[in-house]
Amino acid sequence: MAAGVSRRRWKTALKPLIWLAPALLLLCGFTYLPISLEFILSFFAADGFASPKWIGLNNYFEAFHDADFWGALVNNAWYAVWTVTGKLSLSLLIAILLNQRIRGRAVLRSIFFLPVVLSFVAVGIIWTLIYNYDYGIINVTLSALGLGWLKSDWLGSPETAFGAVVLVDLWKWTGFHVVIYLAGLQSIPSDLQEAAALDGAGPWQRFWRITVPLLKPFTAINALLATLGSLSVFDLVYVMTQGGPVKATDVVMIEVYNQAFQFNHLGYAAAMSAIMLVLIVLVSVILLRSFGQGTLERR
Amino acid sequence: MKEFVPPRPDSLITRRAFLRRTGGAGLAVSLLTSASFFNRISRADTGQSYTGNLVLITQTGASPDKALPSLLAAYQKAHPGIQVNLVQYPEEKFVALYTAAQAAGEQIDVLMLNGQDLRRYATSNALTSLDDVSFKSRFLPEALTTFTIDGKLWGFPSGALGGFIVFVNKAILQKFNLQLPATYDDLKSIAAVLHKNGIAPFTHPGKIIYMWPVWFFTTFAQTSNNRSIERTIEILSGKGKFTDADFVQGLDLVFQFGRDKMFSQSVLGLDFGNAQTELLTGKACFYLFHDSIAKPMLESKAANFELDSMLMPNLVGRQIESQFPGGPGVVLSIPAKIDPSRKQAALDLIDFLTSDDADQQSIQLNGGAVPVNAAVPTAPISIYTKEKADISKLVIYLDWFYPPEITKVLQEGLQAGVIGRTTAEALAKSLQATLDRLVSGGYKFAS
Repeated sequence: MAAGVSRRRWKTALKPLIWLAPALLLLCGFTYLPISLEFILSFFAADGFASPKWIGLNNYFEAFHDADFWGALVNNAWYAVWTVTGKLSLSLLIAILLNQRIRGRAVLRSIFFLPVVLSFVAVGIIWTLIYNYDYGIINVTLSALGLGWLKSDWLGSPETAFGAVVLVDLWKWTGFHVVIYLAGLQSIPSDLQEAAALDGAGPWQRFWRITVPLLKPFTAINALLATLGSLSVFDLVYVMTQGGPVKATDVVMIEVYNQAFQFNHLGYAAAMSAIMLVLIVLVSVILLRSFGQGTLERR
Repeated sequence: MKEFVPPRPDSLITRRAFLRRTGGAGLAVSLLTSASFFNRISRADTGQSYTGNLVLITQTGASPDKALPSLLAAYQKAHPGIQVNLVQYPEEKFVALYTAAQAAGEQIDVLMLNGQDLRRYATSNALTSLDDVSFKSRFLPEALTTFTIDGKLWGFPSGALGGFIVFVNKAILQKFNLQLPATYDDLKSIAAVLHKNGIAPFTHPGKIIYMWPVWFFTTFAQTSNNRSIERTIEILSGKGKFTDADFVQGLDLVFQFGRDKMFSQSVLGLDFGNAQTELLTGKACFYLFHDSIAKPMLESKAANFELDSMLMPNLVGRQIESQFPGGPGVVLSIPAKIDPSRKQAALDLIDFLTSDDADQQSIQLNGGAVPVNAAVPTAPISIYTKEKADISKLVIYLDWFYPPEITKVLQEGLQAGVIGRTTAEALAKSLQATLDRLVSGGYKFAS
């Protein structure tokens, strides 16, 4: 009898593990194993040709003295500041507008979400053409409006290239954050808004006192996803500027790519990736704490 | 009550049958794999000719190789049982993609490289030495010298010797009654007229960062008194420095083009296509670029476009020869890690692709100034005939000698200097610091 109970308990305990096993195997094989290998590689001098040579923490010391790495990290930080604040504010605004009873609301939602499903390469190429100095739509329009003096080599000038890439990132991802905010807005009970209105609260007060606080978990998700994306950005920058001109759009992942695939410094690239991974984890933890522990779990 | 059992359609198989069939299939696959493995071993042992796939990795740039597909088709027809898989990487991404393919353990049998990559892989012991190959006598000796590093031959050239000449839209010069410039002052006078008419003197794909060094190779050829290769070897061997006066002056001359607004306004935003379009559509008058685009540009039949070429005018105001950077087209090599059973087949493929007939076909379709095969004549195109007359002024691309770290600093520094973000002195110091760091890490120039 006791043996039967124990077997049943085992079965109950094992069942979820069995069901989870395929996903866990994939997760380990394609995420945790490569990350572990990357950490190991970061302690070696490896060029892909000769046998890797153990060099301890040298790759990490080199990264801390590498001006290009620090420059790219600073660019990443600015990229995060602009894209995260831009995406959060724009997506909240658009979500509030799309949450109103307006004609063509479903079509508008699809239109805002459309850039999210486009590939980075397609987006990069489209916007490179839009930004083209000679025949890009921006400069052609400016000339047609008699504003030719505003024409610029948007991606070719170090002054404008960074902003131009940030703008494309906002264009591509804002729709995604709008969807999350829309879900949040629709989860706010309408009787709260109505009660506040009856008590004499104006739209502005209702927004700040009801909408914003109740959207906090959704803001936390959006902020977290946008920050993670901005710190690991690569594809858009690579397609549009490759980190140039004059390193104006250089980010850490471009440096990692160059070190690994241009110079064959695989160990050094692994060390930079490892530093970035630790930074991303730290930023995520700080971000979640700043939104209040358990914000996401409460949802 | 009897439990209802749904009827089993005939097309469904039982679990037992499924396991039996997949087991059988697995066994068959294992046997086939083993057979293939033993077959390979026995072929390698007996020297029997290889049949199967050969993988050729090549680079594609501004002007695709029009002869290669038909040559490969002819090779396959002549060698039944061999299938050549052509893998084309964009030249600016070649190193990245090749590194990834190699790291992934993909089959790679023949590489079509440029001289810079050849040096990189030869000095990393990643290529097979081809010293003992019999057909090397078909090439011009100059074409082989470039690919001989540390006394060993690492590859065979294909196509033509040629380089970066200055293309001119002669129709623009004629329209404004201007002559081809002979000095930098002449260039400045022409630039003044062109600017007034909304035309840029030079176009250049400045967004493609690795295209900037050709400008420096052109200026350094003059500031070093036509000793740019010797000076480069001296600097890389520690007998000179990047901060030497001739090197700094060469850098500053490139930056002077920027200061004097010689480039298109959007030069850092232009890629290959944009730059060529600027020349073809009359937005720019001059274009320092590789001769391989001459034939396609002539065939484009653009309006108000008449193609001519020249070498860079005298930029230093003293008696020197205007030289131009270049080299033998592409070089075919074999990776060191090639499966021994495919090595002979890879060599046969290189033999075929570098034969006189193949080179003749390449010259006809792609153009080229001086075919690398001694027995093949130049294409009958005026640009190439002119370039052939100047071929003694061709100096090998200096970045074929540089380690990649130096090339990268030079590329970035030139791009920055053209828009006034750095000075020649600062860039020279940065290059020297990079070299010093490499030397302290064990770098030694391979002659």
